[in-house]
Amino acid sequence: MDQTQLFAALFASSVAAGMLGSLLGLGGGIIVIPVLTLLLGVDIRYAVGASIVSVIATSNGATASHLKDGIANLKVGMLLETATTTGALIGALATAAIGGRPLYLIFSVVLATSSVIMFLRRNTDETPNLSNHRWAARLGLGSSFQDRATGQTLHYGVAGVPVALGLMLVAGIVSGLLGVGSGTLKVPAMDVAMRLPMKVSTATSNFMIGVTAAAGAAVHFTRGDILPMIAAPVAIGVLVGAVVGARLLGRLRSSSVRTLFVLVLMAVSIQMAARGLGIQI
Amino acid sequence: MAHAKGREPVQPAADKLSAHVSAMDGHDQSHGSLARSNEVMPPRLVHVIGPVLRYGSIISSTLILVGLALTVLDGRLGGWQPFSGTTGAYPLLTASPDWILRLLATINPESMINLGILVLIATPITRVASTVAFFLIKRDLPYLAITLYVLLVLLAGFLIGATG
Repeated sequence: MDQTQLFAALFASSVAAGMLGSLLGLGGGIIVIPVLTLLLGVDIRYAVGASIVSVIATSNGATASHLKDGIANLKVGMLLETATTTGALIGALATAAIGGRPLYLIFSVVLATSSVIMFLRRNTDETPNLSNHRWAARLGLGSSFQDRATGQTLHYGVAGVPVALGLMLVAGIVSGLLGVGSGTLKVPAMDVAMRLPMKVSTATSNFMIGVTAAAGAAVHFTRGDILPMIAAPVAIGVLVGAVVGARLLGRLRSSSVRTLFVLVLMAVSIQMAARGLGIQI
Repeated sequence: MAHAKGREPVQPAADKLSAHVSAMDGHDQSHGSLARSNEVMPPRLVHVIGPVLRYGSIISSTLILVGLALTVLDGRLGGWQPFSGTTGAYPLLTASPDWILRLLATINPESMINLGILVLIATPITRVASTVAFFLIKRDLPYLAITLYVLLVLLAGFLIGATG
């Protein structure tokens, strides 16, 4: 491939990353990083820099376009951000102390387990949990949204707030340490602990990941990890894809979103296991 | 069907829930007074966050697209060099803000893109800052504490990033 074709390939995969990311509440690093390292031979340092740009672009684009649909639970997002940002800070500070490879393996096992639990919870999509945890009632976290796939207004409560905060702290630490896993841990935590409807979990994850990534982004930007000629097609492509994906999220059935998420989670689990074994993908 | 079935048996919890909900989508006025006192906040919050994210996305993508257009005008896209140009390695907090001026003074594709990336990164932080201002005006103490904490952690991250 010549340079123009490589550029086009990077742009196209960024659009795909943005679409998938905004549908599933992920940052798109799972697509952007392998494309850069395997296809373009970019050093992992610059690939992670581009991935952070991808996460923020997904978060900005997706949230801006599905904010009016009211799917994302902003209050839940703001509350959980306290834990994710704290975790990200701890993770960034601890990077030097812990070796990466065993961590990738643990991360891989966690993802595989979450994908199984999330698959088992697939029957909850039509009848959401209505009870609120004490803290959720106090902070008015319960809400509703109009599900355009079924035409129904879905009311839901928010369970397990302390557990979710704990899991978000861990999610933040892991993403601070590994530079990955922005959404892959957040969505299962909201699904399993808070028992939120699937679409609410992915949309709220989209809302949060930009903030978590922004903290790390400043460090990467100053250090020169973000190459302009790589970041440009990634940012534009992801933004376009995220807007399209956000429109799709409203129309897709929760069960379809869940199935897609479980499949992607399994793929990332394999990707992380490979990294843990020293294969860089 | 699912929601009608789900709401009936859990009345105490669901009651509070639908009251909370009604203010958000404007129907179900039967819980009117409770709804208004309890939950007028989310729609207005959307009006604060929405423009920040929208304009942040528009400004950053415009700058990046201008940078890419300049690259094409330079005839350099045919020989696209992923590693060309300087990176965004500017002193963000340590130096005086004249690096932005320097960035603008040397209008080349890379500096336009770097500026766009900078706006992109600044957007979620501006979003958090705007929610702090929102809850301050609303005198909503729990959420003021929550958003202020997030903003402080972000700033701490920046300071650590700049020095370490």
